[in-house]
Amino acid sequence: MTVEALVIVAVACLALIMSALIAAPSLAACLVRRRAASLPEWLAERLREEWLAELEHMPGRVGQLVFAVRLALTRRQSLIDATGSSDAIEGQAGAVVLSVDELRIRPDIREQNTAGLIDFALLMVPAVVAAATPMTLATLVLASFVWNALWVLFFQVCFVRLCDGTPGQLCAGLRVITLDGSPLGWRHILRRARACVVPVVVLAPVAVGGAQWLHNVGPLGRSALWMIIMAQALHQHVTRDRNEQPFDHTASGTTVVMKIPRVVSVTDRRPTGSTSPMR
Amino acid sequence: MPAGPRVSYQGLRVLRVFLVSFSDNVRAELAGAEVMKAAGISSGTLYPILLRFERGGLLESRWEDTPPEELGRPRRRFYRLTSQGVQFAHDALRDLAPPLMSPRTSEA
Repeated sequence: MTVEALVIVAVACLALIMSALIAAPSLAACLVRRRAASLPEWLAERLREEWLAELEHMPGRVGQLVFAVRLALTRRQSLIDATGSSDAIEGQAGAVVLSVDELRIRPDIREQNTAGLIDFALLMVPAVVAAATPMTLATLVLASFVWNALWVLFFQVCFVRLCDGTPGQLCAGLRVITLDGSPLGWRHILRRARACVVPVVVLAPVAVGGAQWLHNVGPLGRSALWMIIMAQALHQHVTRDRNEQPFDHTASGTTVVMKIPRVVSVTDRRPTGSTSPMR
Repeated sequence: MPAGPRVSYQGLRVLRVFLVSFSDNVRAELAGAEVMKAAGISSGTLYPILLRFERGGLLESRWEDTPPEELGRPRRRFYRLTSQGVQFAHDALRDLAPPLMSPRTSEA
């Protein structure tokens, strides 16, 4: 590994740590809420308020983050067992049983991954083209910016508005609905797609400024750009809430369900980590 | 060994914190952050212990009196030893925890 590569890795790690520290209060609150949300409702309400209150009494950002991370790493079942709740006998590792109606419309992880892979493949088309076409870095960034912008506009916004799903979701037999049953509106869709806009915003100055701008920002700036894009991709494609939905989707009041409910029998129940699906 | 809930080493540390607080003031109440700091244990370890002790009748808890709207933040929850808890903590610490009484850990 060259010295330059080591410097880039070090800068990337530093940027990651700095980002975590800057976002520590909101990140800690998010972790605490998520931990509480995984518990039975009666216990979740109490512990959410209690933990959020204690979070404010933790000294410093690192203290808040440590408090939240340690709670996030605590086994759900150990908290339930500690209360002596009957919930504790529902199954191992916090498993609960979904209702048949929920089973009929809730996509499993394989269907969601299929949809994600198709959408990701569409996003990666320029990378494949770039690999086969000699072009400068500035042209590549410009092409990525344009394609990202089009991808967000058409696939994440227009497609969802017109067809109730991204191309990948439609191919996988999924559709987007609102949690409250209201028609899917622009407000829902734009809130849902806001995380996808991050790479577009990040790439915009590069696309406008061209190679010179990219050169001027130096290795630190370039590392930061990639860190932001990768962090967004991680947030969008890896992190999931308790209903196995991206956080932005749940926050926008939407969720993904099966277009055609599957046929299940009463005995075809499966355990999941969720206590109250589709919430 | 006193009858009551199972007590781990960390549980004894928590009991000791409450007992020290109780000996200073019989009406003393502690919130989670204070117990964490005094007992030197993590949040992930503390809350299952607090919930277990509360279920076992060793601790009782209540919400902060002031409503969250006035506080501008969520309410804290305060814990205190019950009379049963005081007795249990005395017995447990006397019978089971000589290492906790060593000078090094007493200073923590």
